[in-house]
Amino acid sequence: MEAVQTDLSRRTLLKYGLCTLVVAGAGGSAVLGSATRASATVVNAALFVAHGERTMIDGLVVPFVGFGSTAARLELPGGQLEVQTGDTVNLDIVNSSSLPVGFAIAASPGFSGVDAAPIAAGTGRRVTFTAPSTPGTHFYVGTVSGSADTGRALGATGAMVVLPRDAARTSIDAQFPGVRARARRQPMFGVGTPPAIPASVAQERTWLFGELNPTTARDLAGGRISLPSDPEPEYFLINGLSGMLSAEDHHTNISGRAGGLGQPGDSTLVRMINTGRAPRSIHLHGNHFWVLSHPDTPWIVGAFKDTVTVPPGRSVSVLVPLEAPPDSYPVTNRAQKYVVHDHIEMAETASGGHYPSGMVSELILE
Amino acid sequence: MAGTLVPIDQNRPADLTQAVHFGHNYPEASPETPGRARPDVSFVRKVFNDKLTFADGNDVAYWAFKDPNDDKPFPSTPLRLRQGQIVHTTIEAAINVHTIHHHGIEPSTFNDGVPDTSFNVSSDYTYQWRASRAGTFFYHCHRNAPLHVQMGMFGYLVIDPPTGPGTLYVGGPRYEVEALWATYDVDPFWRNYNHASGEKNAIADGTRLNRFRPRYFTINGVDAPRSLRSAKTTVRARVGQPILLRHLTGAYFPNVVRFPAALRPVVHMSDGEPLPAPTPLPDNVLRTTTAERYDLILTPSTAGTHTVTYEFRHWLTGAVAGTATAHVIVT
Ligand SMILES: [Cu+2]
Ligand SMILES: [Cu+2]
Repeated sequence: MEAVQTDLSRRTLLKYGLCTLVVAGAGGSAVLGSATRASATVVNAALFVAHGERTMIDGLVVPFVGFGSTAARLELPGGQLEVQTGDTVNLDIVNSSSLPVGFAIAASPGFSGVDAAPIAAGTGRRVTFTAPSTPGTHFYVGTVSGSADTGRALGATGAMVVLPRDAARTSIDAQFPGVRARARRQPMFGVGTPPAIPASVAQERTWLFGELNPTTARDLAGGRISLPSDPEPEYFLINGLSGMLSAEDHHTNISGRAGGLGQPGDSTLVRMINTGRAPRSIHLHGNHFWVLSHPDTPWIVGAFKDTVTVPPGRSVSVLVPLEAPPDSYPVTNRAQKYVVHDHIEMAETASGGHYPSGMVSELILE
Repeated sequence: MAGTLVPIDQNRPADLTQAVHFGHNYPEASPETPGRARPDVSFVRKVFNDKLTFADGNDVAYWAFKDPNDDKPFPSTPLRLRQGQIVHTTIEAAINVHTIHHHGIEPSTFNDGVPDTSFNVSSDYTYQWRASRAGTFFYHCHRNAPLHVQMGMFGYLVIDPPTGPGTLYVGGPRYEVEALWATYDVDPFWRNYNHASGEKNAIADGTRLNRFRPRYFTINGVDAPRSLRSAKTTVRARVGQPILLRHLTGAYFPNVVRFPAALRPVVHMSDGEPLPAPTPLPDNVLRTTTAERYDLILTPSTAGTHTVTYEFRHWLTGAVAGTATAHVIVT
């Protein structure tokens, strides 16, 4: 018996589902392709659950259970579900996997959350909920074998972005009311009027952070129903990618034109979502960022920081101004490239080392 | 159960380097500083190593940076300068290759000290930048950063406003006493690794830089039983005297810092910028993760020894893994 299993090697991973799909590693800003607006206040979308494989940066193939916007194509993470405040959201979920999979979005202030019962393997169901009443960033998770933790460990996650109903998504005031009035920084070089936070953003990114322990994932995808008190994760992913792949992914990295000293260029809203068990301590080189929202530490909202905690299971939004790197001398704002990474350094590794093959991406000043 | 399952490792490709070259083959160089200007202030930081001794009698190796005239400090010799100054920091890397990244400072890419976007320093390099902000920063090596930072290659970087020490930043609060207290947790097992461990073939070599299991929990390298007797973990002040605490989370495990109410902690800055408003610390508890800085003014209301307690929480479970202490002795 043992010998047979040993011989199976890679094919062992393939046996879990009849339709095992290879993942297209989409960036987190990829919008859920199946979503349509049925009326002014109704969004309809389809989500397909299936077994798939994901290839880690060192080539290791790991099974996972996740979402796709079509039956033929899994996405990692699941497509970004974009709704407006108060929308009625109808999700038609088809479970093509061999495990029972439910659907959940964690509750938060002003939102009672979603926790749909498991959908049996090979069946489908419509899940309907009312979108949160205020703009913000959330994530959905497939509750695999009855557990949201299992779904997170397998990668069955995707972003849900709640946009303001009657205002542009580029507006800071509409999405983060009161932050501009709070925002504060010191005078540059100690003189003059301190630079202000921009009123609008030129672009957006979503960074969905996930951890992966391949042995745990293999067990869970095979139907094991509880998380072991497992050892440390081996892969640390942004939008399903890591290392040079997340650094070079144009859905993930921040690329744009920089302004002058204290002057915003292509200012970028970054929605950070932590689906892992560990907190993240996200550090950006080259620019500080404005903290637009924080679930645990409201008193840092409006501060201009270089490192921010993203607690497990929560989201934090920041605004990167893309100003000239203020300490450069001579001052330079073109053709510069900086890293952004989790400063809890274990999360900068892949398969035990290979710094920086974990949670890293880039800020590129064109 | 695990014994009957196929080891997942067997589908790993034999040659990891093909897929992970992002972490490989960095240039090693000692170039001239581009656009070199006359500095207002300059520093030299040499790489050295020594040992830290703990209360249980055990010691562990550490690597750090020091001013050539300094003895063997821990943490590394601080860098201190004034806002607006043009700065030269020269690294002397000794026998291995390292970098200096000035964390929170935003220079040109060439001067950022990140091997992924520039180079490792083979013998020496002078980083050039100009200080746009006042506040609390730190500097650290960015080569194989999980290992080199844990081994101790970090130190404070303090930037005073143009008027010098005594004021936190232009328009900010004044202080009369100053404490630089950095948290630092230590995994003795990681001392078995060498400078390049994990850069290649981590699986084959058994390097596990994702497995951090600290056994010592310190402030500035001092564990709790020795903290009351160490100048690194005590400051003295009078009742009502403003004390500036420049907090640095150097630990890899998240910290929960508990202040006695009698210290009346108020947070003024984080990461080199003022908060929207000075904020009395809610419940006198600060929650912070690696590399964050918080600047707090403590104003003792009563005499006595007021102990600040630092919890180190397991990064995955949140359980308390250990504690460290530092003390404000008020007369
Ligand atoms: Cu180093
Ligand atoms: Cu750093």
